[in-house]
Amino acid sequence: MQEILMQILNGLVFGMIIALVASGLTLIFGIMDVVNFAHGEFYMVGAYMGWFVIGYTQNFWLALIIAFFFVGLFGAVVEVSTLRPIRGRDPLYTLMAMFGLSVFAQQTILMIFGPIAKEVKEPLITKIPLFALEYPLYRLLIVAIAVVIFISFWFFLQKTKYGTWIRATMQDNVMASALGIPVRLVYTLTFALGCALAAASGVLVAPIFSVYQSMGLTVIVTTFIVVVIGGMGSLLGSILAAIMIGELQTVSSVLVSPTYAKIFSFLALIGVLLIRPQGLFTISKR
Amino acid sequence: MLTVKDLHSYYDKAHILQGVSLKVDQGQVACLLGKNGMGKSTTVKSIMGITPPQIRSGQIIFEEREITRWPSNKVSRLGISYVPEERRIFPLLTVRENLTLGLDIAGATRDEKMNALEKIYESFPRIHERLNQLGEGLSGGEQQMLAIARAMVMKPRLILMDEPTEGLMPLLVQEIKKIILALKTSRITVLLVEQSAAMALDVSDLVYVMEKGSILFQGTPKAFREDSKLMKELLGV
Amino acid sequence: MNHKRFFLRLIIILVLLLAAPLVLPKYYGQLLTEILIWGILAMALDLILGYIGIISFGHAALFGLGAYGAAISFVKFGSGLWLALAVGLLVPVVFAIGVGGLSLYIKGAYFTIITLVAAEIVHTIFLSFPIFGGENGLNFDVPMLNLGFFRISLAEPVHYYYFVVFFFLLSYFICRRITQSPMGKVFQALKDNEERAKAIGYDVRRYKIVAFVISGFFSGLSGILYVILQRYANPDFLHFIISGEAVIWTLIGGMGTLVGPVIGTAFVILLGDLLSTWMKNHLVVIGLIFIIAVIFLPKGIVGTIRNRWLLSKSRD
Repeated sequence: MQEILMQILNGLVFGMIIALVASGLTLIFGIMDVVNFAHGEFYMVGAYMGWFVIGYTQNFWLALIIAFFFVGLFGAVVEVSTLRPIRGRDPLYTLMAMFGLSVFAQQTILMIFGPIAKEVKEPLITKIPLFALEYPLYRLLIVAIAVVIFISFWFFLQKTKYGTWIRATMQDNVMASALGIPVRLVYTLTFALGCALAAASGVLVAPIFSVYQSMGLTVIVTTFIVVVIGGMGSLLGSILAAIMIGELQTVSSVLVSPTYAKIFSFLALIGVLLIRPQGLFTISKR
Repeated sequence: MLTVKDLHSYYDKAHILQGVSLKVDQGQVACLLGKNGMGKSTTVKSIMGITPPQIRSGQIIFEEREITRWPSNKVSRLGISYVPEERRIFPLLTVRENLTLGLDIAGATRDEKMNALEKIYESFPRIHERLNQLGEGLSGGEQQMLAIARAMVMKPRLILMDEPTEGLMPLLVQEIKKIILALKTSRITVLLVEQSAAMALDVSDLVYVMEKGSILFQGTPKAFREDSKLMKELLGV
Repeated sequence: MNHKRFFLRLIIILVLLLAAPLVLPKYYGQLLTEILIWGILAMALDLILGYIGIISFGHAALFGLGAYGAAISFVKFGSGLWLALAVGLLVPVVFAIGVGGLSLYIKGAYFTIITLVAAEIVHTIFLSFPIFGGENGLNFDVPMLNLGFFRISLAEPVHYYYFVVFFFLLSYFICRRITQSPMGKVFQALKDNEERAKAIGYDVRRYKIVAFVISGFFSGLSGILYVILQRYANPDFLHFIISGEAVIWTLIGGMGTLVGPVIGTAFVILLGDLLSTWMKNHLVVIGLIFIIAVIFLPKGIVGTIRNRWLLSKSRD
């Protein structure tokens, strides 16, 4: 019983981590129609950057903020240099370019930092009593931080000028431009933001799963499943689907086996694509 | 104010505009008539800088500035507004957001914004009532009004309107006619694309008729009415 | 291309391939063997990527299933070469039918995602379940090639090289026949405009599945040839990176040209080999070259050359 409870909580934490990555991915797709195959790599680079900054400053939270901004900047550079030139072409090429980027990023990190995984210490090691067990406070903090990020993001989108630009661009980019919105800039900022979210997730997860160069691949598979099930372009959908898949994978990992957990997620993915391809949590077509 | 010289626009390989030339002076209302598929919308889109279609040759000059192939957000900032064919209201933004979007981009101050909005509320009382409704919840007529209001709120010097009366009740068509006349009074230039010529002829100073990608006729409404062939084709009279 | 020219080039290539072991040092002979094996995989991928126009990251699974199919045949059934070949080809074909079937209902990037996830699952399955040998995989002895009147040991690198050359040429000819046949034209039509192909009356579904089956067949063949070369089957053979590398070779060489992917394979492998004398992580350079190719040279080496040639011809 206690074990199950522990796993349910772990599932929530894991779900939130994925939700952060997935929200970035779904945002990029919703606004730019780009499926970012390199998204896992921004998560990975974020984690490495976090580890690196912690190495110098011993400050976890500073590392989180720095990684967020720097990977965001890196994302902006990628968008301008790689995505913009091929925007009009067959989307096949964008997929391939992003795949190429993921290979390049992984291998570069491998080259610079070597194959040994990096360890990051948890910034807090207290455990708090929760429902008859002792649960690490840090993991609960991850959930809290993710929630704060999502709420701020919602606020940004709904209540600020730039958020409205983004929403308008998402709904009708031709008309948005005809009203004067600098759509190309919106794309760059959106992509940067999506990557930054992934990076934040990477830093947050580092103390739990450590930092290694194929962590991007591990997370992107689950992220894709989540984004499709939640509905491409739906932020709320990604968050809900992430929690759902997070729980599914964590609990079945323990009840059955990790391999079956993956298989269940895969079956869920196929099921959703065949039965309700627009995602489980979307209300309208988009 | 607006001069288009020998414009050739393509949708991929389809040569839609085959040398379109027209001229609209400041304060004029000019209309672009013609049957479906003759290139009227394409002309307006090319002026606005919307792609596709792709402009391959020709010139578009606005207030002595060449704006050929400028991206639409740049064109918009010069003072040209666009009311598209399908209205294209942002469905998931509120009426207020639809209106203020353009203002925020133009960098209006709070007071300027309030003033511009007040003026719109006067001319469009129904809009004033529905400020917090989402765009997709409005009726066709209301959406059309919003599309026009949205274009007007930015105080443009030239408004491009693509078939604003399409699918609307005669009562609403009259309202739009009033709006266009009001624009004329405010010395705002209008280029109006219409398939149904009747209303357009009443408000325009200048008539252009397009056929198969180029201008077939150019003249005053009076001259148009005297051309029985055109009258028959476009008005069925 | 007219027949005389084609045959001339064919003879030249044939001579080069056959003479290679006599001229090349042993190391490069081995490398060439590998290039030919991977070339078959690249051609298999090209049928899907270059002709039908779908990105598949699942070809590692097809390759690996072929490899494991043959390996299991050797190890668990104690079979000879031909049975292993049959098993190794059957398994990926069956899998390909399933994947092809999915492609009828799931399109575009969603389908690519499915291939990625499927490859991951297959990889995990082979890694976890002990019947497949787990992390260490399966080892076996190289089988004898029994041609009836005499038996050849395939353990000799030169013997194996010619064995591979035979299958490579066979694969190339079959694939070429297919792409130039009416069916191949339909594949092309599917890439350019699927809706129109449907409107004209082609049973798009059948063609897609057939394409996947053929692709699965040759991917599996590549896997079998590879596993015999290596004498072991390892879960790494199913790893997504193999799919990824095949995509890289195919694009750089030239999608939809069939020859292109083979040249792309040779180019990337040789470049990688060259670079690895100076740097440990040559994929950094390859990845960068790939990105640049996608942006600036999307038709690949062969595609761009053919394009230029066609353009210069039309100018005369």
